[in-house]
Amino acid sequence: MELRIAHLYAHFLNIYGDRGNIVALSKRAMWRDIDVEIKAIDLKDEIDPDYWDLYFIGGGQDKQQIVIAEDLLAKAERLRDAANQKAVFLTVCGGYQLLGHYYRPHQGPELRGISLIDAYTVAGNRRMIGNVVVKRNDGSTLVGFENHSGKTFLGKDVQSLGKVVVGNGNNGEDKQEGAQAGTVYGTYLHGSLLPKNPAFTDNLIQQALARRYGDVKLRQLNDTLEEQAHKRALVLPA
Amino acid sequence: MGDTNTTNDTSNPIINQGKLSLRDRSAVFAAQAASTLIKKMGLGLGSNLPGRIARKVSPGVLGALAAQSEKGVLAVTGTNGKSTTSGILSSILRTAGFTFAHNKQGANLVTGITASLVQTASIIDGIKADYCLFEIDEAALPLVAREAHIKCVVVTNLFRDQLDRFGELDTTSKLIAKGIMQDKSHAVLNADDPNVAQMVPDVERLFYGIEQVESGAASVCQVKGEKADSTELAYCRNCQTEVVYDRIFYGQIGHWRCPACDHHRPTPQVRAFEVAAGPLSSRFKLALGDRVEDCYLPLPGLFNVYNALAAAACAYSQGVSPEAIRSGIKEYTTLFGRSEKMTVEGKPVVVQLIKNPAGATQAVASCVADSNPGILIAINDNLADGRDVSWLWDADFEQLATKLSLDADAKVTVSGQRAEDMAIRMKYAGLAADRIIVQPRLPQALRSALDNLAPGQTLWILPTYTNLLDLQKIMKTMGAPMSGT
Ligand SMILES: [Zn+2]
Repeated sequence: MELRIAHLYAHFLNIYGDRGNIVALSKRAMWRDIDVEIKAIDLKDEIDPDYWDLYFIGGGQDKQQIVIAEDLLAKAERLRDAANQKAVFLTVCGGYQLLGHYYRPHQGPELRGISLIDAYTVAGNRRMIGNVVVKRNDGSTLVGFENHSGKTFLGKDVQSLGKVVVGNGNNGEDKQEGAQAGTVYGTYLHGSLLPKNPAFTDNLIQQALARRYGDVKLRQLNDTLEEQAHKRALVLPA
Repeated sequence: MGDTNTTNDTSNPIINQGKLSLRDRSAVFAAQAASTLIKKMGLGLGSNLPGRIARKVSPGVLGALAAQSEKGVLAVTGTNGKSTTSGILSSILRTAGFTFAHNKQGANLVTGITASLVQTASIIDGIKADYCLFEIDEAALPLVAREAHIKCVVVTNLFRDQLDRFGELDTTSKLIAKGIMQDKSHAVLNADDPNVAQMVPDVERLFYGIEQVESGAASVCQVKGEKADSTELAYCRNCQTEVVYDRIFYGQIGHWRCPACDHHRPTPQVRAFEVAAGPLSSRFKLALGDRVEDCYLPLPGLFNVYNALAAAACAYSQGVSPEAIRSGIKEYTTLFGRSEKMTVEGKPVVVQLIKNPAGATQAVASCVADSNPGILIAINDNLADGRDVSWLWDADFEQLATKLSLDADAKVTVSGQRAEDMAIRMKYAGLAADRIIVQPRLPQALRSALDNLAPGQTLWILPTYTNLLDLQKIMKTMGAPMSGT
């Protein structure tokens, strides 16, 4: 079995420990003897929507966001095709915002997103920084760190990842964090997100493999250290 | 912490530049009284309160005291290496026979600098010294420059650091440029960091850089026209194209050029070549204009060679002799927690502060250069450490995991408020979970790391800032005081 990961704009969007997410996905697959192929997809690179199982887009500085928004629009059709084929998308912070309909800055023109997630983002007046704990519908938790001033609001066609117990989440107003539309995920959590949320990570891997291999059962791993780190993060101050 | 260092040599009479105003003298008096009181009452209120008091009494006191230094203010700023660079520079200035007032390590914001200065000043005469030597936080530079005339600004490098504090690298770069432009200070710049070298095109500049490295830098690679594989992005100031490299030393530091126009790394006037960076010390040839000196630096790693170069370049710009520069570098004694070598219970220990991906990667490279290192990593997430520990994932701990995995007995101890985060970082870097000892409490972690040390093995301790402060207290109780204690 093989897991194929496309890391979009790895060269530009690589702050806030995005690398940790790629490392977690690939290690947790490799520990189960699943081969992993990772490719950095840069500006102007072609995407083969039939090939990749999982797409990752991270966060960047404002300067890069504009260039990337433009390039993403050029790739939009193929990415939509990929999503329709049930490829998994994990997008964090800036990447999450660009998967919505638009990002409206304080001044200047709106940045158009690719509308894979029914959501929009407006620039806020305060930076939301700190530890976050999210309670999911199934009772499980997600832990991470947020650092954003954009406020994201979800539309009808999408559900959040869960309710914010600690921190701000999508917009600091409606207590919701992240978004899930089918196999497309967006979140403000970094920290890095995946190493400390191993069950969530395994679920992403499973969905990504399901595209080509159907229902795959992943072998249980020894997650003592990961669970310790998760537990510790549950009690960190906001 | 680091002592306030006014080397007032009486055999070397100093002419006072100007008398202090009554108001400034009152400010000095009030601050010193407060400082005495704080000490007497045993209040650990930190070093800033006297500075705040002095500024209340006389808002212009920093500028007035700084203006009294005979030859002016030298400032050191940049993301990494500020303390070490100003430490080496003070060693050189001392060797050359100059006197200077120096701010306390870590007290590098406006109030901290004021506090350090008022506490060394005399109430009658103020500051009697050739120079003021300030280590200044990047964001504080424009504020200090607005109050005090700065003769020369040394910039070490620009890496991502605590994004929750500055937001963007661009912002930091603009703050430093603003500080330099305030008085059109002379700028001493790292030629090899494109974000620093291109910072202030319109002032008088002196560049320093590394020409070529013999050994000791794991990440040195010869590339032709490659982009930096780094988390730092660098662009040509002329045409906004991303720069490429013919040689990368680490991060975005190297011989860069613009692929689109003819803009490129400036040729440095102060240059190091034949650099041999070892695990505990380095040797290199230092070219100052036409003169070449053989230098020994009692510090590990290529990043410290850059710190020595920055200090040498600043001293050179002040007309210090090449001999004094060479011997000042050699005589440098390490600062609190900056590659600080010590002996604890008869065992060799090196303490190296880590605070961001670039610095941590260099610190880890130093450990890896040791043949058989013992390792203790302590991560806190207080404000002074940076509350976001994501940066651990951007630092190269993989090189350490690879090294330790080769030895069947090697273990790493992780500690601090975020010990568990560091533990999984090491696990995902490739170290087996049973080789990772998690001990959040630092005294116990140190105990276990020392006990597990094999004969002849050195313990490398990599703490974040507030862990370093804790470590200082612990070491004191163990009868092994760190420098500045
Ligand atoms: Zn150019």
